[in-house]
Amino acid sequence: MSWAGPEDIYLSTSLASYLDKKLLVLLRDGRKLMGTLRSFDQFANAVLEGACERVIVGDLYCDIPLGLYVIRGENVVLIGELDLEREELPEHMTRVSTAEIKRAQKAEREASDLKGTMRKRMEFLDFD
Amino acid sequence: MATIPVNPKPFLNNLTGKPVIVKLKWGMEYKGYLVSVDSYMNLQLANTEEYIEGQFTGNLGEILIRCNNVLYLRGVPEDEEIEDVAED
Repeated sequence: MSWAGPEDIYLSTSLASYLDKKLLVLLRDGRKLMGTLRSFDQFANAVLEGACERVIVGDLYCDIPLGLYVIRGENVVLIGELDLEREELPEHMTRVSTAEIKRAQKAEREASDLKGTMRKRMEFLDFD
Repeated sequence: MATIPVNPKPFLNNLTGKPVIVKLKWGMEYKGYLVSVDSYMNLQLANTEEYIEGQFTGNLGEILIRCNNVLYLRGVPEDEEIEDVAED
């Protein structure tokens, strides 16, 4: 695979302009990765340096450090440049530990699973 | 009266610099100014706003949307509220 340098601007709709900038990458499974774009190719495969996953559950958030990541392009939904001047989150957001956010994530997942099973059980009721 | 057909590529090229709404296959919608499009129809938007289930969820600024996620794109008047089109 040939990775793009700054001169390879023809490869994609101006991912070149994002090189060496801090980005947010939204993935197909809903995960949000942040890091510095070091390289990319025509498939939007991307190398992120200093990557971290930002997990948000309600008003809680945590940045889980990941290191150097190669992201396969097919998993990418969108890529956005982070405004370093405005990187702070809203005041109501609270930063918590990795363990705490994992617990909150698990609780949220269980709640949505329960909601799903309740909906299935009630399908016999025709609300339309 | 016959209408003149507009092919997809010219249609998109004519929309560059104009406000558009992009709906993704996964339900999210992005409203912003179409900056550029490439041969894959990857989309670059500026001053982008995200809407989930018709509700505004935040400003994203300049973004690039990978082409395979796009369900449709349409031009919008600058002042149009997304709630008008939330139910497709």
